Amino acid sequence: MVRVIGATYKKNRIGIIRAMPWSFIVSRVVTGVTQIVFPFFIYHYFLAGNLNADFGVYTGGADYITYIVLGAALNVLAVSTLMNVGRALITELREGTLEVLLLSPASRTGYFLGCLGEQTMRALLEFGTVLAVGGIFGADLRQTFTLQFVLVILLAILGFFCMGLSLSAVMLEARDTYITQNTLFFLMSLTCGIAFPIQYLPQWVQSFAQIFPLTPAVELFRRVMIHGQGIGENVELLAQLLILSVIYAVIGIVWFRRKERILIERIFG
Amino acid sequence: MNEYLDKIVAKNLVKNYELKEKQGFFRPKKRRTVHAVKDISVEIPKGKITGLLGINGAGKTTTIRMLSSIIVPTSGTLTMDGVDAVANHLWVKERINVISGGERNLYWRLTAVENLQYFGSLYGVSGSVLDERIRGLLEIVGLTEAADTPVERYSKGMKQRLQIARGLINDPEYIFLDEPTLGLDIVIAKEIRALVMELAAKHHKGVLLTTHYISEAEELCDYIYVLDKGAMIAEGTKEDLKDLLGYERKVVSQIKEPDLEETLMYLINHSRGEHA
Amino acid sequence: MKNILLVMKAEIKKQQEHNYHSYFVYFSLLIWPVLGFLEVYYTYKPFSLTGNFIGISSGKELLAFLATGYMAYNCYWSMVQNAWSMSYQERTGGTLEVSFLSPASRMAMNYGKALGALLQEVWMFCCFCLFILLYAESIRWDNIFLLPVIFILLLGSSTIWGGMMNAIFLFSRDAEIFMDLFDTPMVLFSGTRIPAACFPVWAKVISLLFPLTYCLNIIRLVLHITGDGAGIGADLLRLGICLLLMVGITKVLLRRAEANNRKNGELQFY
Repeated sequence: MVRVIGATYKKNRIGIIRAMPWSFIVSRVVTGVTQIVFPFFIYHYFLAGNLNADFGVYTGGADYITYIVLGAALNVLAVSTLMNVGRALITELREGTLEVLLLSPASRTGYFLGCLGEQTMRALLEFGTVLAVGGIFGADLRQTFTLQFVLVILLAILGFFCMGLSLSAVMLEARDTYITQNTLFFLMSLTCGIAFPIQYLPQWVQSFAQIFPLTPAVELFRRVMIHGQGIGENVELLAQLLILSVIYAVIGIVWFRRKERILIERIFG
Repeated sequence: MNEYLDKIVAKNLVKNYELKEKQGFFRPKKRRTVHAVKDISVEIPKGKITGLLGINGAGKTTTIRMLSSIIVPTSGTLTMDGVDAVANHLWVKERINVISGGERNLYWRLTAVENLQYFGSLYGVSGSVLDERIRGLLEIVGLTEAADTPVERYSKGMKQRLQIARGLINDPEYIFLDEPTLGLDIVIAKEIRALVMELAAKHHKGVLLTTHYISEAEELCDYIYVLDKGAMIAEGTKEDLKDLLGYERKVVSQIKEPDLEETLMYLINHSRGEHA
Repeated sequence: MKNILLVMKAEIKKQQEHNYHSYFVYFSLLIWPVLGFLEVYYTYKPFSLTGNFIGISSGKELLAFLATGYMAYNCYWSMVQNAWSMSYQERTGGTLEVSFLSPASRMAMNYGKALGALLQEVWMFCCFCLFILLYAESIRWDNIFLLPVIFILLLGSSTIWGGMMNAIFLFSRDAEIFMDLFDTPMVLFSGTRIPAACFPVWAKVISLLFPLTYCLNIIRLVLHITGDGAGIGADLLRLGICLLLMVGITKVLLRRAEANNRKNGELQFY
């Protein structure tokens, strides 16, 4: 299995270095920065810091710009991880290499872990870029290099990765990346509490948002970064994130196994 | 002046491409000149089929693109019916069309009729004239029954036949056919060859045909030019070309009459200086 | 003249037939823009709108402001997107070169493409925005006669904008990055989501570069949504100058693109 992880890492790495998906990277960083710039303009130039009382209540008195920047940065991490893991298999399908992979006895989990390892550095780079831009816009990022920060990010990546497994199966099933991923990302950035506290949304939308790992992850991230809390103080968020990860991982793996059988039959059929 | 009428005349055409090669991010781009076509002269008379023969990469496509005024020659002159075709390319474009082999150059989501309506409109044909012409063309290429089917559901041969209809939509005086039977099965290829023959003989159109199927050139062409590595290495009727070889063959006293394929290989090797 | 209209009609018809088949369009033309619209609306939720901020003092006024912004932006942006995707499809499909093989007027082909795409792509989301405007009471029975005026303004200016985009994309094969860089500044500085009137001077200067700014100013003035802009006469004049400039640029670009192609054969793409 270690060898599969290594080989997948290496293969994807080479592919990426040869043809860096610059357009995706630029697009995600621009999306992240955009999600900072608009609230910044509204806050500073348009409505001149005129926040309502609810915001203070919902966020525990957080600084607005810091709140926005943390949301935008974690959203970029989520989108990046989901895209890289989710698109891995269907890209192989489109290039005609999936059959070769399916016919080999290589460990599927190893394959995905290889993808994960290879993409994490890139995703973190995009995340860091958006965070740094946020710092320039005046976000308070003093908690960045603490152990709690690292733990939250690792937990978040785990959650996004597991969801990516399910997404990969969906994409394979639907043979589509464009519609699936964009619809998902629009929904996530509307409902997960990226640019505003989700308490402003209707109750049923708030409940719906709980199915995305991004919702507890961004909440936990803000508590650590803004209020200096530890993960141990937020057991319910931690539990939600872990449970969602397990559920998505199981769905993804089971679905993929079924899909795999069908695809293999088709190869020989 | 008369010698220029009723034909396309190209004299001493040269085409060089400037290639810019990236050398990493900051170093300046390196320029390199590719000599795609070197000093060729061609005549395409009306009512005749002129062949342009050569292996892949010989410069056939560049030549046909120059002759059909898609690209301009680096130097040399090109006239159509005595008119300067480089300067008056829009005037030329009304009177010519290009049909290339393969499945491109059509809107796959549109039906045959919709494709032809669109391309017809680009030539200023409209209304009942256009409808009539489309019906006629679909009849000729045998697509009447598939007229309202989207092109994406067509077979390769059907797409090729629709391409031919598209190429005739402006009733051109000169037609450029770039490997029109590429990848088609023998039955369809034969039909298409018959159609090409008719265009020249019956409708008195000037036809330029590029191909690397020797038998096709042998069957169709009244006059053949042979290109290799961008240069013209031989020209003449197919009898002329065979004679060229025949003369040398007699020296080594072979009895069998050489076919055009052997002739071509010999010419290419000879011009490259390989006598193996 | 007759031929120019004929070519434009053919381009419009072709666009419709070409895009007709896919259910994708409901996502990219309706669902995503609506989700994006809602996200921006909710981004305003943490703020209190009491006190008159450049003419916006209630939730309904904010909705009307955003609906006009999004409607106009959607028209302009769909032009950029369509120019990109069609230039790619027509290049790889070889149809771009075939259309340039014909003697048809290049300007007519260009604007026909833009107008066709516009009619095809924006109507769903425009209906949504109209619904919002009716809900926000910016459009009422007594000013409903303004609608055709607004539509003509939007159609005309975005077609000319789109024509310029089509001409630009004739030069470059893949300009996805260019699109990303274009998107955010246009949304931000032309005042689609935030009134340009509240910007600092440097941002106002940038906003003058986008014709969408003037177009939006006029629409909002006519509907009495915000008080910014230079007044209807001045904005009309500026928009007019912008449009003339864009037509000129388009003409030059088309000529240069074709000359370039005739030299280097770049419109084909195997």
